[in-house]
Amino acid sequence: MKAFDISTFFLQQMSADDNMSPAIAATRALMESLRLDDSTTLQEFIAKMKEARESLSKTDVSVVSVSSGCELFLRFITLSHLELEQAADFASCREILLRRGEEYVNTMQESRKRILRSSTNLIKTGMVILTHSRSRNVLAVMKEAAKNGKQFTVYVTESRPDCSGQRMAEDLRSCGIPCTVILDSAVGYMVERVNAVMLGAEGVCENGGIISKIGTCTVATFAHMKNKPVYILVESFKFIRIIPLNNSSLPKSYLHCASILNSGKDLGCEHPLVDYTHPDNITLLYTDLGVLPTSAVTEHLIKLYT
Amino acid sequence: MAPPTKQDFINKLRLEKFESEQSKAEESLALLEHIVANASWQTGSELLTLLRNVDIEVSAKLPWETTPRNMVQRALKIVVDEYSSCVGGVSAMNTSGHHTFPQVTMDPTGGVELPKCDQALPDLRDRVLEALAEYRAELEQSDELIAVQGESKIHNDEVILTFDWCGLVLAFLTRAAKKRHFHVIVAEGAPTYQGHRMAESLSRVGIQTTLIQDCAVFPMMSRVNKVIIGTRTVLSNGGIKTDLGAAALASAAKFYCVPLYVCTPTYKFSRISGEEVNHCGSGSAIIPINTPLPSSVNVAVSKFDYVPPENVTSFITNNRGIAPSYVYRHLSELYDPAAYHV
Repeated sequence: MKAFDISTFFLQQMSADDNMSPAIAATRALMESLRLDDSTTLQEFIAKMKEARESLSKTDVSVVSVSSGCELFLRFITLSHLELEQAADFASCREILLRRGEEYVNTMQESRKRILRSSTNLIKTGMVILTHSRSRNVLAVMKEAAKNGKQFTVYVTESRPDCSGQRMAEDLRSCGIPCTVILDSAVGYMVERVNAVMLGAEGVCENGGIISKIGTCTVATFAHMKNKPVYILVESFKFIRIIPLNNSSLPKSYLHCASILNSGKDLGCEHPLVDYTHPDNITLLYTDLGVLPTSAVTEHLIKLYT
Repeated sequence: MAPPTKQDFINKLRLEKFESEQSKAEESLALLEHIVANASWQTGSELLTLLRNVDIEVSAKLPWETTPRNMVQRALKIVVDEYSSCVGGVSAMNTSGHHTFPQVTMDPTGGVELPKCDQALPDLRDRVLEALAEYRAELEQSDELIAVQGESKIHNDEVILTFDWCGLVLAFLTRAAKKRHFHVIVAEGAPTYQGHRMAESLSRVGIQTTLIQDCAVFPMMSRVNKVIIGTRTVLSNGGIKTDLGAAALASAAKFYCVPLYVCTPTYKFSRISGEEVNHCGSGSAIIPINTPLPSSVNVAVSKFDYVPPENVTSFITNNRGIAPSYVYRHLSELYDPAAYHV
């Protein structure tokens, strides 16, 4: 019964606010299930939370950021805290956990604003920017820059198979930003005209590489080859503790959505949803923790997870 | 001697009366010590605001002068640290209040306001002055500490390439020359030709020196074992902003896989990312004033050059060598993340 609630609640949250990151919707769903929960011991509670997290990752929405956001949320609320140790019974524990959960969700929701703050000087007048697919963070930063009166042009890749690049272009045009949709295969042709590449990510790996919509690897690698800076705009709750060696070592749960994994189809014929970009091709990461070089990610991960 | 004032200091900076970054650092420290000792302030927060005003004024009028700004940032960190240790722990907190992940970044977003240091402590003034005096001693020793590392970095029969005049590199090489025998090639550094002065000083201490044109750097690079230069500023991404000519030198070094070492004391590490540090000189630097040149010809004289972090091998600083990818971390040790105003 509860598992059903959490998935539908999560999907409701996603459809209600288009600008919300899936990870935030997932943590909100976890908070809701925390409120409705009736466990009597901490063990039972943690087990139920883990179940809830499992059922969230079975939805067809971006598994990478959802699982990372949930993992961090659970760690944050159950982290051995002085107050928890001194709590008399489970009821007061729950109060504390609820409070910390609220705090965490509020911080997460502020993360996009912090990214906007750290990237105020990123876009300059006259810049030509290339972006791939539709990233909420990139869209927010560009809207902010346009609002501040900066004039710049954007090239967006169409981004098959869901053509989310078209949606990105519509959103940008509605803010008065001149943009052109290009074919995914036209990136090689266009890179020499652009000044910088701005991308979003679904996950940031421990070595500073990113996991992002399929096609990102191509854009970033080629841009780096032509000495164009590649900026990634990503929130810190997307930092994950894996170090993929190459694209083949990405876990299957990231590459294909849950319904395809469960349907027993031959995965060799299914197109992957995401790819891995090596940190050498990334110049800087603009996060809510500030502007980080790729070498700083591992340090932040340690801080987030301990 | 007249007490140092902010206005005098800024005027002196503007008229370029300082002979080196070291003297800028020392005088800005003197100004900050004067503010701490003599200005009227009661709480830590007031002192932080007073000090930060120096930073704000310098960055508004002369944004490319990073050394005084770095000194202010360091002083702010010293004040916050002294305040915390006086009060014994957690009082000087970030105003955003929530469970902050400690900021180890190049460009902080949390806390555009200064940390709150509201308690009035009677001995804060003395403690801060003491800490600043220690910092002054460290500053005065930094040249020596860097020069001492010369012996270990340079080996016998090596060919070192350097560029233009740098007092620190001169001290570094002079020290090494006492124990090692090596050859130095100096690029002359047009249009100021300070490289001539460098070559003269080097040969005076008995080092075999060759003077070359700036444009000859590329063909000479294949014969060079190491490149050692100074800099004006170290940027937060690990790149450097220095006198014109260094970028070409660094690219040539990268092409031939020759390591590039930058000798820099810690007060040159700054938290800016690069774009703001741009300054143009007057055309008379390259074209003498009365030369007949049609007015349709634009003379552009730039003062600074940017070397990206990929081209720098390592920074030789007071305490140790630092890789460019580690600079962001070093910055968090030197400066307080909350005290930087965007």
